[in-house]
Amino acid sequence: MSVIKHKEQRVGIYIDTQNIYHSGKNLYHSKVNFGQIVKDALGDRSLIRAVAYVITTEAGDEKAFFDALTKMGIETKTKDLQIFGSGAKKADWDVGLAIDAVKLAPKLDAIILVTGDGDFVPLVEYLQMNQGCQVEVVSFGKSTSAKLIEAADDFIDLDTNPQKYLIGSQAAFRAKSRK
Amino acid sequence: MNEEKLDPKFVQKPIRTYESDLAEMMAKKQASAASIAIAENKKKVEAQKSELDAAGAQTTPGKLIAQRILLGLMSLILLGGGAVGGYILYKKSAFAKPTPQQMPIVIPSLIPSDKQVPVAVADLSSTQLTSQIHAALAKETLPSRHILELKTGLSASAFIEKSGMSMPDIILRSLTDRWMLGAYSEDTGEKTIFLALSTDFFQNVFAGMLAWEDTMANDLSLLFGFEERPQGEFIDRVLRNRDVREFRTQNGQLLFLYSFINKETLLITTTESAFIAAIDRIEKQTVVR
Repeated sequence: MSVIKHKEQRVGIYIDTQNIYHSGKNLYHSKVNFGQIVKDALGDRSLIRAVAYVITTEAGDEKAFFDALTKMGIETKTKDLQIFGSGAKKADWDVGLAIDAVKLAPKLDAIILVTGDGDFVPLVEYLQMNQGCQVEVVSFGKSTSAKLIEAADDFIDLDTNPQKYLIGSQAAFRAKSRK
Repeated sequence: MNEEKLDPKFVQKPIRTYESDLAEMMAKKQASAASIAIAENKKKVEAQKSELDAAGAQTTPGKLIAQRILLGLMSLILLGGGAVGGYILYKKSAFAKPTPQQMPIVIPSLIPSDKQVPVAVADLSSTQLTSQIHAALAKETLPSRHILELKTGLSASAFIEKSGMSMPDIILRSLTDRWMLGAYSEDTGEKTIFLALSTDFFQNVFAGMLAWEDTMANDLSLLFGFEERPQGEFIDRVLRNRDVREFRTQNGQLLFLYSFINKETLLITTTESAFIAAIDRIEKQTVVR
């Protein structure tokens, strides 16, 4: 897999926050440094838009997190967590993220999807074939769909240097590394 | 010349007949006429047997196989014929079970509806088609917040084509057979028309919808009943956690909106209340399952 990343490339970054947040939490018991991910994924190319898709809960604990994202230059799009009468909870940004990517694709050369969700494979294929975009995927390899990795033009595996992309996990990470 | 006198018993007779031979043999071997007859008969039977063996040896293995196949086929035909005959007799007899009536396949509405009304639109022009739909709707009384489905008997693409919409091919190609033309009864008593289309590739359909936006307002004006060539713009909104594209006039009035309720269903309607009602119905359906 060889990709060209030159500095004139116009890049759009779409972050499936829930997916990456939960991967970091489950794999490393740590929070994810989204700013660092965006920085490394972008390189020295031109960032057109970076959007993080997030879910808000009734407790509203996420506000500080949203503010942090905004400070990093990442736009946030929020959706409320829906709780049905049966107790089932539902909130996903699959369609919303795909719609934004399709909308902006004509203005972009490269699209970076920060997710490991295999449901985005059709989107990757659409962007490559119909919009001529280079599609890159950034995620934790251990929790990323093999089909998504295969479909993407480039894959950045956060598992290769997790320490760099995690926050407040130094002690836990060192302990894990020693094992 | 001394001629040797020979025993007349062994003198070769000049003329030999079967009778003389027989007499000679009876004399020589002291056999009876019956034993000779038996021996002759035995000889005859052996000769016949050897003839038959010779004929059998002339039959090639290929011929033998063909004969066997022919026999096998004939047996099969006879057996099959017997079975068919037996089946026909059984079907005609009183023991036969009655054939179950084939039930018509009922495809549930894309969005669960309270009522279904057939509308004959097959041979109508686009203007006649929309008039027919509006007339059918006007005739129906529908309680508040109820959903009515209008059954046209057409496929989604045929309906779109017939109603004169210039929908891009990329959308038409991505549509599945399931679709629904319906109306939602508002609290005010008005009926809001909606069009629900089903797709197996929403990225294509969404890209097509973006491409259609230039003429969409005009194309939908007849069906949804608003003025032709309206002036306005699309704005993005989030309604019930769905990304919605709303077309608003220059004075901010909502003319119509479209959105993907889920990855398979595209909904086009004119009011937010109809949109929310459709989402509620689909979500309830999902939870009930």
